[in-house]
Amino acid sequence: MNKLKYGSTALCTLALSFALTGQAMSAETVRVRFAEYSSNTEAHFQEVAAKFNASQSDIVVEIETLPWPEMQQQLITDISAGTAPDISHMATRWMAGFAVDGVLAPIEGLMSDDFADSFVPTYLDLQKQEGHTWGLPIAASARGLFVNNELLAKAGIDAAPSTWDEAYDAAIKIAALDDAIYGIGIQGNDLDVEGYWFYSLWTHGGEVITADGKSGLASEAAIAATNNYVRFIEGGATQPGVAGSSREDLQNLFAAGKLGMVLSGPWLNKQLADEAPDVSYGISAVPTATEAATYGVTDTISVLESSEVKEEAVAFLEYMFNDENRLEFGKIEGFVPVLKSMAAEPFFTEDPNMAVFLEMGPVAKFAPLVPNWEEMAESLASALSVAYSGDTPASESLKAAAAKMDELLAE
Amino acid sequence: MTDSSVNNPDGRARLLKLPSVFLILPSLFLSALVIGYPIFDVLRMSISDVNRYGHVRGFAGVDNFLKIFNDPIFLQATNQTLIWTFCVVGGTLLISVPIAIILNGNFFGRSVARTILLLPWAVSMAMTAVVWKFVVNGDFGMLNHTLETFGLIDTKIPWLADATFAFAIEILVGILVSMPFTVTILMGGLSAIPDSLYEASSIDGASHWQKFINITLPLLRPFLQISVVLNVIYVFNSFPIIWIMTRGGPANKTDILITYVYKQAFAFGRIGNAAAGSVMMFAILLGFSLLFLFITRSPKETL
Repeated sequence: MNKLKYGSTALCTLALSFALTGQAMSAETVRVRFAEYSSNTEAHFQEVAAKFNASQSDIVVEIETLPWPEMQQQLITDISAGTAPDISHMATRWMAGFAVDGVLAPIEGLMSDDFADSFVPTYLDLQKQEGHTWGLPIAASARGLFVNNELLAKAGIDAAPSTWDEAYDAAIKIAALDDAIYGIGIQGNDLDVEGYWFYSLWTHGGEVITADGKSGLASEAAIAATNNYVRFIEGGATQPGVAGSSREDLQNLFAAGKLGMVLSGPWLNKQLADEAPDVSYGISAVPTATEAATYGVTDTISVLESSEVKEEAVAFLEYMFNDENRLEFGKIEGFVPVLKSMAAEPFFTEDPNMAVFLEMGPVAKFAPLVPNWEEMAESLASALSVAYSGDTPASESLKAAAAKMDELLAE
Repeated sequence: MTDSSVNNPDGRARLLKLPSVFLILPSLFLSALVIGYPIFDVLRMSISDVNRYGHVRGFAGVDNFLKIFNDPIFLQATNQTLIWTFCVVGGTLLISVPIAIILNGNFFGRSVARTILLLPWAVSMAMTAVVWKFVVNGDFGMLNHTLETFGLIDTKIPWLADATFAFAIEILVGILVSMPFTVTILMGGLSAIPDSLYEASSIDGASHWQKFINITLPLLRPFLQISVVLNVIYVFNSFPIIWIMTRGGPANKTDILITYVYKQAFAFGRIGNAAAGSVMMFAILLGFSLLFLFITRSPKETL
């Protein structure tokens, strides 16, 4: 009896769904995996997918999200097991390795020219290697100097420093205010230690990879850039224990009003608005030594080679990158726009704390997109942590990282 | 099996005649598969050229092993692993024996004390590590706050920024999480020692210390051996505490073999190196276990 009842219910449901959607049976499922920038990320993309699914009947998009620290490992595991999603979000620096391994689908032939033209060229160009575009820039950020206005004023400084010498002077004065107040934050631990060093490297005119394809980690500019940070540390102008401080530690200190200056990206605006609305702060360009520069980072969203629904996947990507969805994404996550059309959007241009990142776009430099970068970055981070601790001179500790990098570049 | 076959003496006899080994064959086969296959696969990958997705591209001989032996961080991590294992297991035993003896005695609130002691075991190791990471945080941590309140320090100490402090703290956390298991094993051993031995020794005028040395320790010996072997295996392979608190930093000075292997496999995509590292870990543990069992084999005497 029961069997019959369930059977007929199932049949009715099936018939009804046919009647309602017409082509329900032929809809292709596209699995899309995102990494979480914040607790809002999943809800945002679920909503975009729901709108997309409701807008047509050929494609059904399913969203999965993972925290960033698990993304790379999970993706590698899924690719080796043959269970990778059709579309995956990733750090652009992993993309190079994935592209070399042939697990990503070149996207240029799948998308329309108009769609490709809608991106800011700097950011789209980063996704290209060896004549192919391996993904689309889903998020981009530049970095700037966050200054605590109150502490600056207390220390008798009128304007945010524009050179490293001015920054040093300001940091020393701020640190002298109180034992629990530090002049500037320097990162020495956890993810992106090398990124924090790039601010100094590039503003000292250094390069990560030189024009002849060799490591620039032990160049004179690189040593000067490292010694620039070491002088802040030895002068007592930084938070204590630089070698143990992660990016989050510095941001928390700034939000607590204990840090005069810190270099960070637009997402910190969001954290400060949520956690520390009382902290009065401003953002200016990264202090310079010999030239202006900032660290630009993009994240990529790619179609995987193993996907059997590549065209449907790109159809969803085109939808996801429409103006409405992108503006919403910019608002909830605080990244700089990757679409040309967004650059004039009042949300980005009218807020000085957002506009400063747009203005720095032209001097943005990027981490090299080479396979094995993770390994090079780890040995660089290790060398920096040794140099920051004062145990070994920068010139010596960087040599090891440069040698390791040359070895990996030659592989 | 029907009722008739059970009640029928012939049927039962036939069943008993089956070599009993046939009955355990399926489970033996399953165990061999579940335990043996991963070991086989790691061994195979350690001598193969493997891409980062785990696909074998060819035979590599001892290349992977040469690569890790030429990596100074591997040697450093091996050294640190030995220190880590020795300190955590040694420390755990040193404090577990007195705790087990105290908890084995009769006193008011013993069951509460036992429960409290077992609590760290019930909390996931990852959460324990996260909580301790907060506790020793240089700026907002409870440890510095407490020390400052008691006037023991006047500037905040960034504990995890210094490799020596960081490693010492990680070892202490390791001891904390290994203790409940060890105390439980030792308490099992203590409860098996007959009271009459202590009573007899009291009549003979033995001191507490003499009882401990001449009765408790010798009878606890097999349990101490089990806890040493099991703890060495667990601690040697223990990943979450170090990964969560320092990720092997600063400057790789708190890396142990398991974090090294993890980085090789999942951050750098060098599965071959990771497999070679795992084989080395397996060999070290196997060597240790055999050596330890050989050294501590029971003397052929009965009490």
